[in-house]
Amino acid sequence: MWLRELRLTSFRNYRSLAIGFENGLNFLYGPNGSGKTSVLEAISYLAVARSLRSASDAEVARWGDAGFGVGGDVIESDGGARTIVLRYRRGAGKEVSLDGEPLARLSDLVGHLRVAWFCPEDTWITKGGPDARRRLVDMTLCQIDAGYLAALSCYRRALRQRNEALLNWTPDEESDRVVEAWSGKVADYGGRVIAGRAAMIPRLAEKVSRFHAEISGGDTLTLAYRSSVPLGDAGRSPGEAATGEEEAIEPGEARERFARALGDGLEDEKRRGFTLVGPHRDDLEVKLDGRLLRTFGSQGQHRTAAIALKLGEAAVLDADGRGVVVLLDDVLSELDNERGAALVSHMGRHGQAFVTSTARAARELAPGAGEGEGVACYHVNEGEVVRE
Amino acid sequence: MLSFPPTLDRLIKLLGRLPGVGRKSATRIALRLIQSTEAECRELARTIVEAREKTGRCSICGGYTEDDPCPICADERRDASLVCVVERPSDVLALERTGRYGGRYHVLDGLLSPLDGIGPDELRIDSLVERAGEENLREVILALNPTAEGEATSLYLAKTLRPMGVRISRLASGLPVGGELDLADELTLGTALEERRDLSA
Repeated sequence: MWLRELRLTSFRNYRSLAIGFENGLNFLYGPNGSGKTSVLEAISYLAVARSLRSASDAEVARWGDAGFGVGGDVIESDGGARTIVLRYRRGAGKEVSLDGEPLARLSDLVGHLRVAWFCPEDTWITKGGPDARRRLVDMTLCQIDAGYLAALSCYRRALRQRNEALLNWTPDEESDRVVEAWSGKVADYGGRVIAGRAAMIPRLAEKVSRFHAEISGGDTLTLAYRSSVPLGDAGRSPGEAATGEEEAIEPGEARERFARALGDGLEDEKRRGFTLVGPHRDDLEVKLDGRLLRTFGSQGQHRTAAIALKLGEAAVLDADGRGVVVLLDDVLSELDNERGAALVSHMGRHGQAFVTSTARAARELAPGAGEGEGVACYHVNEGEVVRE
Repeated sequence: MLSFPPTLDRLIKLLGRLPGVGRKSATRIALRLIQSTEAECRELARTIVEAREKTGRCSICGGYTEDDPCPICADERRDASLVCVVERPSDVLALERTGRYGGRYHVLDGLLSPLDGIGPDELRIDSLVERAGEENLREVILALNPTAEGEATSLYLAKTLRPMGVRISRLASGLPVGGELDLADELTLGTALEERRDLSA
């Protein structure tokens, strides 16, 4: 799938914009604050109905305007075209339509346009805390499995309720039963989340290892799902490259184990007032040649690992061959030319990619490809985008 | 800017405070009202006041009623050993419309939601427990929304009622009747699959 045209109204600093793109590499360059990232952000709205910059909808609407609109024409791999339109009005919320038909739920949008977003902060994804790595896993899964998206949002809701129940806990039977009731629902939804992650991560790991070996010239990068819930054999590979299906766990089995872990830690949780175990504390462990990258990696090793992770994410999103749109937001400034070129050329293989940069020179990272062969350059300045 | 005469404007504002009535609908209703006869307007106004005065809650089930106990709780022909637990009084009407249920009801007046400060004491749970003890119930059917809050409340009630030896059930979750499989959302379809029914027997 690829995005043929994007239309914006009252979006960030764009009053109105309609622009066509190439099914290949699209370079957007211009000064800082000119609106390059906003174009990528608009594309993320068409894919997942929200900002991948984690901005609120109200922030995205142009200053003083009542809302915003994003529209796009997506060309499917079989040649079919679909038009996605998302409208937001302050106070009224978001509406999405597909080919003019309003969608009942925002989650019905999932799968029509898939995106992999890569921003400068992501170059530290293997160095920092587990949140960023969980986000990568969740963003990937939510775009290929609408059931996962539903389970994850129910899980977050139930978890907040359980934490509040723990915070208000008093030593009496009634209070115990309220916490227990929320434990039941947290385990129900959480079991589905764990099962989804345990099934996807080995597929991601296999692809990431391969890309990493290609770019680094031989170092072995391995990924493993480290759930805070003891999963027994499942999800606990001894650090070796995770392949195959042996790590899979049924949602029902995951729910049982999670429920048991919640029961085991209950006394501690009552004292501390929040949930200590569950998918919200999972991690994706990254090892380089058998050693934990987080604790010893050099800057260059972290960057190479980040690129491999993002390439792996794009490959998993594209596993069914329908394509994925890659959004590289000002990442090249963080990378040396060699890594930058490796990233751009690999990303281009999945089909369409958008690359933002302050310098037009970024275009030179796609050697051999001339204008008109799926490569286009756009100059972005003060709410206008001009194709060269 | 041209505006309506002050009294009409006030009517529009009052109507606009009602649930589900926006400014446009409020204006349409108000314009229709001032074109109707005085008798019609008086009847509407009187009925609003009367409905508010006369409608109370049943002391047994908590449903809306003009008499206490309500016609459902007072009906000797209904199965007194069967109680269906619902969140709101309007849920009683929804279940009555099915014409399939011959037991009685119990309105909880909400669902457990720690985030909104709603615990067991804010709900009509004590009176349900009392009923389970005194009325010698055979079965309690939990008919709460299949949301996180509804299902957690069901788990809580099941745990609370279990020692009383009463049978506890909850409504099935699954595919909408007459619906199409590929239109069902993934969580519903997953639940329907888990709670599938045996047809071989």
